[in-house]
Amino acid sequence: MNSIVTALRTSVLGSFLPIALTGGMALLAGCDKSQPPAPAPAEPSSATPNSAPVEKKEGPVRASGSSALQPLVNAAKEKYETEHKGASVEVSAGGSKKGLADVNSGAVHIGNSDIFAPDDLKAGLVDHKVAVVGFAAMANKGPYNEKIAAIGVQDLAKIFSGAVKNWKEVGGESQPIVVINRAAGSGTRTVFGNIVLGGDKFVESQTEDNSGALVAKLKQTKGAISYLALSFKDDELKTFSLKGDGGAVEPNAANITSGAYPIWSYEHMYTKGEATGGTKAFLDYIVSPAFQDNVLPNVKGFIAITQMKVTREKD
Amino acid sequence: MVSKTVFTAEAPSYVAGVRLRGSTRPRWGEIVLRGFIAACGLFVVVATVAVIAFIARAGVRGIGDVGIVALLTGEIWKPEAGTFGGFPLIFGTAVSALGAAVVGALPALLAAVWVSELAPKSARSIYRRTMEIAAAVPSVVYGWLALVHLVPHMDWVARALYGEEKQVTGEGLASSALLLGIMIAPTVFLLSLDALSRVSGTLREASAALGASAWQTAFRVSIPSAGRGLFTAVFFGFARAAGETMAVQMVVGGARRVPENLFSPATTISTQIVMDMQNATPNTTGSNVLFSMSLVLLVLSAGVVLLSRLVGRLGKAGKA
Repeated sequence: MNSIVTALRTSVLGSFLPIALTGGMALLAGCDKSQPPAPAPAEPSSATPNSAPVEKKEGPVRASGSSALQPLVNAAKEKYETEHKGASVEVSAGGSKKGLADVNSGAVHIGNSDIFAPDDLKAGLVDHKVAVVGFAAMANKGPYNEKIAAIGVQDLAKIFSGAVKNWKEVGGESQPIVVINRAAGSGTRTVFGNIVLGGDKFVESQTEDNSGALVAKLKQTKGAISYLALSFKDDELKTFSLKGDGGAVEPNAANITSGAYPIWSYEHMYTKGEATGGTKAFLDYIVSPAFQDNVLPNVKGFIAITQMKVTREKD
Repeated sequence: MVSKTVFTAEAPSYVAGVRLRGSTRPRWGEIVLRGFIAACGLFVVVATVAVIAFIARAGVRGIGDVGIVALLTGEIWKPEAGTFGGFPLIFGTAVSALGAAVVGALPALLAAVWVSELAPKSARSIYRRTMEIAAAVPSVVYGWLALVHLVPHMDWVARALYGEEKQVTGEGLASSALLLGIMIAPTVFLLSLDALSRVSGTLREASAALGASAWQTAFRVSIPSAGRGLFTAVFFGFARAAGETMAVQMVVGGARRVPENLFSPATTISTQIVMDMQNATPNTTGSNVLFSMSLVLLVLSAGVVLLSRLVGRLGKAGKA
């Protein structure tokens, strides 16, 4: 639902705002021409067009896409707007694929994505990696799974592909497993699917189109399990570590930066071509040490891009 | 703006026209007004035809891309992988709309019979006003209420029916049908009440004069006489249930498969269109196929309305 509103908003803003703005500008320009009798003809040509329109014409920087990245962009937006008077940023969420499609079509300035842009969009887009985020399997808390602290990747793959249907098969007590998926456009789904299942091999099941709604659903559905960005980690949900050869690997910052915990992805902010103007200023702020070292560590679930000891070229 | 100009231009000349009855002076105001109203009438028709034409154009392309058989009978709907089997969607729509007709339309129809024929006359307007309010509640409100208050109970019902070991949830076609039933009931009730109120009073009086009780009059005279209207009311309810999107999306679960039972997540045509349109680039198969499914939905709803006409006509012919 949320994403429909977002879609409408971006499309309305995307198509009408520029027209309205240019129309308004044209009108203003028209008025200006007729009104002042031009006391000094040399001056306006150099001073007025430079100073006046440049600051006012710059509309808000618009970003859409990943709901996993949204909390970070919102944190950046708040700091940025207080530090830069007159600047404004609009952030909406509707899934990574929508973000990529929106920025490619020019509906927004920045496309937020948990995944690398697919090959067909890669050519026109410029990648700005702004953070790293980890993902984990999270489940409804109950006596049936309280003894399970870690699940192996193979077992996770079996759960999410529908091969394993009961918690007792992975070390818990008897309770049917209810898999809840994110919708097809979700970056979280893509990343988790690629790393855990080797592709989108999820069993067809209940679907939520937004991470926030998913958290609520997990809390109220007995036996439910899904996958979420660590920014949505919640004490009322069970978050699983990965069972490895050397014991359980917890999904935390230390294990992700060292590469021990594999379910993570970059958070990308794509622009169409090189960023310019207000968009560039905002992106520069997000990758600046002022933000990466001081603000980002306080936003739950995100890891500064500078901390990573391992890198990745694709998801 | 248009209506304003028409009004100011028209008022004096109309008065003049009355005064000069029989004169050959053309009444421009009336001509303009007539033209405007005729244009409004034409616009409604043109808009409807245009909408259908646009849906059909893209829809037929989608059918061409996928093939009509694959689209209607394929059991896997996975647009992100280029697989478009629409059967789970059609199945979900048909089952939840039929379910709604059973749990919503039939009780609503009987309620209308009760109110129109048997209930105390003084209470009628209370029933009617209540149902008018119910019919005006936006569907998103029904959906939200159902998500919060219906789904948890259906979850409990599902576990009671299938046991703790079965993968069942409150989200599914059962919740969807129940919710749709509640949503269409006011519409069906009001349409049925209108149909019954058109039955001539003399028929009822004649029936009573022959010694029939109120019950006998209701079921042997009024209902058969209002038969056509009652059919139309139920079919209208069905069509509305088939097209409902927002509310259903909240409770149906969103699994793109034919569900094992009524208590496991499923999907419908309209909810799947909403889910997929965000990822569909215009003029690709992914987008055209969504129009094909819209076309299927349109044919389903329009078909039902046409069927109700046909049933009505047959009923009339049978009587005559």
